[in-house]
Amino acid sequence: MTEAKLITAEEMAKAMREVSIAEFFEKNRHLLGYENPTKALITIVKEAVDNSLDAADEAGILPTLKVSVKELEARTIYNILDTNGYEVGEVILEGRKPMLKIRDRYAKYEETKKSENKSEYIFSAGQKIYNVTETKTNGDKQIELFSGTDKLKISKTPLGRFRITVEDNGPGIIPKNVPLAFGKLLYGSKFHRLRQSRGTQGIGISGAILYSQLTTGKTAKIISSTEKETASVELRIDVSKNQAYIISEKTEKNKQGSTGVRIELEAEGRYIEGKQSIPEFLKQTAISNSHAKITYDGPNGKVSFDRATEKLPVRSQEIKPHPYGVELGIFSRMLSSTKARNLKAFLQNDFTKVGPKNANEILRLSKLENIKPDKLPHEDIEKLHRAMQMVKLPSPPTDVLSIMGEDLILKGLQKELEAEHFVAVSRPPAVYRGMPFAIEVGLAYGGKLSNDQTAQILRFANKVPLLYHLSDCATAQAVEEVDWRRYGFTQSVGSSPQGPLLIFIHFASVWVPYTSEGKQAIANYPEIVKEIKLALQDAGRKLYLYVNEKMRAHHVKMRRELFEKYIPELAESLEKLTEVKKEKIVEKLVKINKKGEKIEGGDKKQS
Amino acid sequence: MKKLKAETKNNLKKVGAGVLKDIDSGANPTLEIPIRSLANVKFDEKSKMITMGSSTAKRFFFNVGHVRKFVQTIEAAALAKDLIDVNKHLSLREAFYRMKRTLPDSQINLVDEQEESNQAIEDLELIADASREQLHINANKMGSVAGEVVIEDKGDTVDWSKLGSGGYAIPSNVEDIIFKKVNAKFVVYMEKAAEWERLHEDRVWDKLNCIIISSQGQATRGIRRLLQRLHVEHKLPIYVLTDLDPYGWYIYSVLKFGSISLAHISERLAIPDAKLLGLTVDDVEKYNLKKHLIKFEDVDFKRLDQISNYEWFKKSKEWQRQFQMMKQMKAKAELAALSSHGITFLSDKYLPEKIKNKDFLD
Repeated sequence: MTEAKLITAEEMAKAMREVSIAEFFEKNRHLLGYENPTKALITIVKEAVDNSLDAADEAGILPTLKVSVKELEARTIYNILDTNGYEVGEVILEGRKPMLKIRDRYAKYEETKKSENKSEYIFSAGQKIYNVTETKTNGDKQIELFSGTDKLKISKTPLGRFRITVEDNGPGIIPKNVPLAFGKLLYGSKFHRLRQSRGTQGIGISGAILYSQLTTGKTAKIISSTEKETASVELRIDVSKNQAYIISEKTEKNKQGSTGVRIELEAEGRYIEGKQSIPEFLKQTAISNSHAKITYDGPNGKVSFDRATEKLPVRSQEIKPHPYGVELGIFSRMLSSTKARNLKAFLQNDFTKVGPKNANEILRLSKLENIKPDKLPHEDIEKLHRAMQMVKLPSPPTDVLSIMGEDLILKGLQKELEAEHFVAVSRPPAVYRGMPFAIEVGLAYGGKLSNDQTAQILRFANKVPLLYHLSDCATAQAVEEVDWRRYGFTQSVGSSPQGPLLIFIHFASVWVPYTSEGKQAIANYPEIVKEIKLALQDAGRKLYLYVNEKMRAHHVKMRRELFEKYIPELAESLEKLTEVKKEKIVEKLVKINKKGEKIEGGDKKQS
Repeated sequence: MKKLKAETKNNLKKVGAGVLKDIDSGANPTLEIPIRSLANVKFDEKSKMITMGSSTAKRFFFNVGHVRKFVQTIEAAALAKDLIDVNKHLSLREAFYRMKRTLPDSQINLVDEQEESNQAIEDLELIADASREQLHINANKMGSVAGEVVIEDKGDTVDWSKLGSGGYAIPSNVEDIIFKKVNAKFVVYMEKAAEWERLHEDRVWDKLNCIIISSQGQATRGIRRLLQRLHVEHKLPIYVLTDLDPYGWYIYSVLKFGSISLAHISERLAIPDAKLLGLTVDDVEKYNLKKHLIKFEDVDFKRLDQISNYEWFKKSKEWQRQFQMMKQMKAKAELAALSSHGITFLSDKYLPEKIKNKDFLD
């Protein structure tokens, strides 16, 4: 028995060091939306597009975007599965060197034995030997994996290396800021303010560059043109320092005069089309940004999404927090950092919609003196906070949000969807946790929408499509809680409606409460769910006017056709009984049938 | 007889004329049909029969829910008129196939199941005020009879005691049968053909001087009418043998009081004086049948509940006692259980003993 070695606190401290944010995300890339190769590609495009649209909106420019995704090299990854079908490792045979990884450990590549139609790759890991046999039949490759005599289960994932390029016509970024904007995580203009924008955290595009360099080792190429200068920068991210490492940099006068940013990345990923894909993301982006023109050049050809309007959306504005719902923690931080000299001034200056009258009222209710804010004792902070909630205040200003408006929702849906009827509802802003937000809803009905599936939900947060984690999202909860049967759809309890319906939901706010850093689902605050439900019900009622009319017309037609089938039978029997010619009877019955439901004894009109 | 035929034909024509009148005036063609359900039958204390109430329902042609039945009923009327014209008879099954066809350019069959044509014909009986037999539509032959009886049927003389092991097959229309000789003291009716064959083989009708009649399950109209005629015209008591289960007792109930769906012709079918010979719950003890009990299923409980709530059983203390005991026993037994005491136990012991002791339920 060896003596257990004691580790001192000092020694432990030595092992501790600050982890840079870049390093943290290198290890936790799933938090940013890079957990699988398919999603990674979509996320890269999404981050670049978000940035471009934000920049154009802020500068008051009608955005024109060019997105290109090109496959450079295709490979196949074989996922190793355990008996339950869970992924425990992977095998890559193409490329530089055959690779086998199992349970987070890379096996050692030993050798390859090749014969005519068969290659055998041998790996070793400790005591274990892994054999991969690859057989070719008619150009089709099949592999089998053995660990000793045990055959392991595998599944196939095609994987490729892609070049992704996104180019906009925004105002550009001044050369000095390019390394900061692209090479440093958590840098950005958007994190510390309350204003509706697509990006918020300053992670997006640098996260994409980080993923690119992790999977391919390639640099990012950025060309940024402001009105004066054009900067061409090639950079990578220094992970330990969380800053850009410039490979090359060139600044010259802007000769063509057009402005904008172009970013080019290479990354590994898997390209698909369909429900959760780059084309779908761009199509939905085109719906929610009908003032943007987007052209897409993908592996399977070109698509163009045209502008439906030349009008710029209302520009969003920065606001101060609203007293309702500001959390106590944030509130006490505001108290200690304010520039205001006393509580009254603090309430008036640091909050929106608090005037002198209401500030006095809050103080009166809290029974506090008008002292310096940072002198407020801890137990009184709560008193003040509570008093703030009790005063009747106007809603936050509505014009700070950049809503789409019913007209543009309709235009956006009409240009990208083949349906026969559209309705839209734009709700007046409401407040959650002191943040103004607005819900907008659009419904598309009929046409090419599938009749026997559950309704598709298109979700947007500040005009950005959300493609993943639908079931965690406040929108899904609201859709399920609405009684769609009232509007002519079938619905089982606690699920989405069925029928030829598409539901568009836009959540606009100065701060979007995402459930995670991946930014794919909106947290279900009761105020938010309630507003979405109200908007959906409003839109449902509007749609029902159309659906009901259509169902009624259908019902009348079906009914008439049913009787038409029975009329000859009745006439023939009556001829036998009465000896009146059946043709005469048919003629009269057809005439009565045209009267429709109004006839006495007809079926009651459907409610 | 001829006069009745003309009257039936006339009634059928009237049904057609009524519908035609609606059509000529541009109104929704209507049939008014008495309602055949528990809600529209009464138990008549005096005659001790189920009789029909006066509620009627209107059936419209231009009504999605009615149109099918409407056309089926008129189709049945046209069919019946044809049959009377050519003086031929069809069975219910044949009538069903005559009506079954797909309407042109559709997926709709005028009738899908025989139950539909049967109901249309029953409705027609009410509207045209004529029995099914008068409409020339018969049920299938389902019962056998044996005994010292001589009849005339369509000109043939038939002796019920000289028909071998099969006995006389009861036709669905027994109206035209003429009784030439009836030598019997009572009639035993049983729901099972197997027990009938037992009694016939043992020549019980000879030994006990009776008539034995069987059906297979629910007694057809022909059997019920034959029993009623023997009871009314020849004053023979009717004794009933059924399984010990709610369904068997229901067969007895229909025989004695009439049925809900045929309440309109109870006076031609019901036999209020009929008695239940067995099996009763007391028989289980008396004849030691405990070993042969079969456990109740959900439907049995339901059915028992239903019949114990029939108005005509409610007032009988004895019947309520039987229901109560069966409910507690949670089991049923078949007539065949008696054979566990010997193959001829039913003929030699059970039947004679029961009749001698007048051990039956009313």
